[in-house]
Amino acid sequence: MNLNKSKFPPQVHENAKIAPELVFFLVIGAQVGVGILGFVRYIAKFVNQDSWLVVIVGGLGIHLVIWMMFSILNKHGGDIFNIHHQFFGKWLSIPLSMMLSLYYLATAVVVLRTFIEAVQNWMFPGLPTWTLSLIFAGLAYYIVSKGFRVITGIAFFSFVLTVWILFTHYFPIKHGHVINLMPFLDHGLGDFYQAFKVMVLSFIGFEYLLAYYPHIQDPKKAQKWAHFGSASTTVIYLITTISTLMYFSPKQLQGLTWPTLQEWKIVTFPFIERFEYIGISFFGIVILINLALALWASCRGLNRVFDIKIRISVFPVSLILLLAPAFFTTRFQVDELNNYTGKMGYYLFYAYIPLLFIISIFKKGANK
Amino acid sequence: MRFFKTGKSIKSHPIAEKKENKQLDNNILWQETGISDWESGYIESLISQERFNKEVLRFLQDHKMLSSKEMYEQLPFGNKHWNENPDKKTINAMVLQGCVALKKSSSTGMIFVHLMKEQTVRAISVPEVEFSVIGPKEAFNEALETNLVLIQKRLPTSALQIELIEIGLRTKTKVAVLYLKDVANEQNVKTLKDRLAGIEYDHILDSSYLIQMIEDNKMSIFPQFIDTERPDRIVASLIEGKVAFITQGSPHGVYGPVSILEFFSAFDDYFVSWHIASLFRLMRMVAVFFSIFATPLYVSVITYHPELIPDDLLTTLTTSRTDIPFPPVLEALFLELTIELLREAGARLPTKVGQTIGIVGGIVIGTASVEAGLTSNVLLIIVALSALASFTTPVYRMSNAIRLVRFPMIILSGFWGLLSLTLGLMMIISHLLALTSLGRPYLAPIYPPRLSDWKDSFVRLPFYVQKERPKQLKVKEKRKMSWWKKRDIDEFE
Repeated sequence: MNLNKSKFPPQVHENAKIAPELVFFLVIGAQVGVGILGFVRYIAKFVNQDSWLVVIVGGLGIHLVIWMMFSILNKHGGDIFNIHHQFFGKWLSIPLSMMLSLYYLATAVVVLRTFIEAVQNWMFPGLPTWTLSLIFAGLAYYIVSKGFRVITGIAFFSFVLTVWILFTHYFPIKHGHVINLMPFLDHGLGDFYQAFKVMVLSFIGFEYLLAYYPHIQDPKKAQKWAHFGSASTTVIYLITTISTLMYFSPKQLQGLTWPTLQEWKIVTFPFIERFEYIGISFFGIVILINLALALWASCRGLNRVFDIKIRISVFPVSLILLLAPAFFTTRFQVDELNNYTGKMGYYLFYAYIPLLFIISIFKKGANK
Repeated sequence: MRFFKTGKSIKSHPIAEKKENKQLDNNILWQETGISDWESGYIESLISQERFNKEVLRFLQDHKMLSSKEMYEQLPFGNKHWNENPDKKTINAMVLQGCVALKKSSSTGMIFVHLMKEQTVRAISVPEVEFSVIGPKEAFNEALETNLVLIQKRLPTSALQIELIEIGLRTKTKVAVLYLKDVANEQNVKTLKDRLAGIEYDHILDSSYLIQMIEDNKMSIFPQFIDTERPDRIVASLIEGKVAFITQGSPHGVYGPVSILEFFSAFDDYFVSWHIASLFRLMRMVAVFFSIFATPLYVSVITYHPELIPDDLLTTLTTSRTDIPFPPVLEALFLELTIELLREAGARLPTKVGQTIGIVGGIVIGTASVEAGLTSNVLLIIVALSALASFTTPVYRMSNAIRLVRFPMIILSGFWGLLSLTLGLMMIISHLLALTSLGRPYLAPIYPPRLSDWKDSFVRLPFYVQKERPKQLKVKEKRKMSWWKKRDIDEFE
């Protein structure tokens, strides 16, 4: 085991690198996850009809974090594990990098468990948790073991294959009431702050960039695409929020776990009814890229710190992904898991990354 | 009654006897020619006896006085070799290639003259699998030389490189690697040549042996090379910057790197107008999706999500399977297997009998199984259509792969309906993403996304739009239009 591996910036083979434009798909693919099926309820709890404002502000906050991430990475080169080593030295960097790796894995578990819950509630009541997590973990294992280019490809396809779902919001908006969005700005700053904190969970996903930054061909060019990806996520969330707010009254909304799924009930085509089945099935694709990317980032941490090949470490890590969801059985536990990860993300984005940013300002850059 | 006598020795056979009188060494027949002290050695079945008598012996007769070396220099043959002191191995190798060995008993030097018998090969015929109504109707045959001629006469340029490799310890199969020197990417050429040269299998009987040995991912059911019987298709691929190879004894040329969309383009697409070609291509691709997903969709909807279907349609579907005792998965698998049986039986039988089997099987078994209440007629229609759809794929290897992929999809949809079906789709996509052909991405114009290569992928746009070669091949000469080029391409060094 070579503990000094993260001392040096990673060497990525030219063939394993991706074009900077593809970062768009990676960011949007990882950000939009199972959260979109239910996040509106959580922010509406605090700010109700002003939720859309929280979505916009939350999105802008993420832009700030992305900008900070890129300035750290551009200045010091390498990836987050290398930066840990540079900033904190060898021994302190190991627990930090491992915590980040664990966090990445936790995001995968959250997404998978929440999606399985949605499936159990809407499609197959009584389906054992491990069956679905087996097939998802297996697929994620296969994808991650094939390398980063394949993961990017999955991000691309998951965007292309599922972007049309956005247009289904036409139906709830058509049946909705604009009056539900009134009155404008009716809540205190405290409420907004609470909602903002909750909103962070839905934007989780762009921070994998800290790990895959060296895999981008011309990383400086990718910043634009990362911002563009995050902005698109914000737009998607905004559409979802507005359609949900218009379609449900505030009281009704708080009674639902999965408002977006409930909305799909009124989507009808001449040849298809009960659209939510199709919706959930296609969300499996969205989930998959979340899992694959999180799993890869987690294994990448192990690779960078302990010099374990990803092809080897992905097996035990995906085994954890397979087993972990089965430990969260009730609605309450799944909710807690979500809250907890949301908090971790919140502190990562708005405390840890700014801290790194401040250190990086005073620290001399590694190259050029 | 006995038809044979045991213990009869083969030695008494007249031909064997005749050979025994002469010196027979490793099948090589050594004879005195009767002209001064010249000896000749050859394998009777390999060489042209007539040419040997008329040309070689007559020349020897006329130039009796010459020494071996002088004789070698004067012999009026193009393909001749001189060896000062050959060992047995060299002699064997040369004679096995169809040479006549000539030797003066007084000296050690040996002359080898290539006198291989004109092979009796099949005539150049009409392509059977890739038949096209318009366009050339020549197909490769089993002789490497003929096949090379078919290509060379279409590509009279010195940039065309033909490199011969010999593969197989026992069969010594000749394989010609072809590419355009000023277009093809050197990395692709090198990859292909290295892989071919690395083959250590002792017999190669067809190009499909080679394809299976040099594929990037040998575990995949998706083909990673295209083999074609049309010389024009090979020429088109060479001009695009691909690398091709032709194997001695195989009526198929093979080219790569290929992307998955090329498997759905027939070569007639370039002969008909681009509107029609584009329409047909799109139809083929829809057919592929239909072929893979129609039956699984039926199974998953009927088993798990009948709510998806509007009332009127649901009535039709449910009445058609009220009496069916099996779950939809078994029903679908039963029908799919029946169709596969019919196809296999039809393929193994001679054409005329095969047609009968198709009619008997298709009509009689189909109707009977619906009437017996084993399958629903809606499913029968879907299965028949998806079988039909799988045959629209122009490349035989690919249409096989597509039929095979359908079965795991049907079984998957029996688990969790639509959800497992989308997961199945993702399995296929992630597998295809990981695949490469000669190291180039298999899903190329789709991912990595290269919009400029889409002109000749899902659709075939008119020729005047296609001024550039596909980007994914990373070719040396990017443009197809000759006015871009000031120099004459035949002045290529």
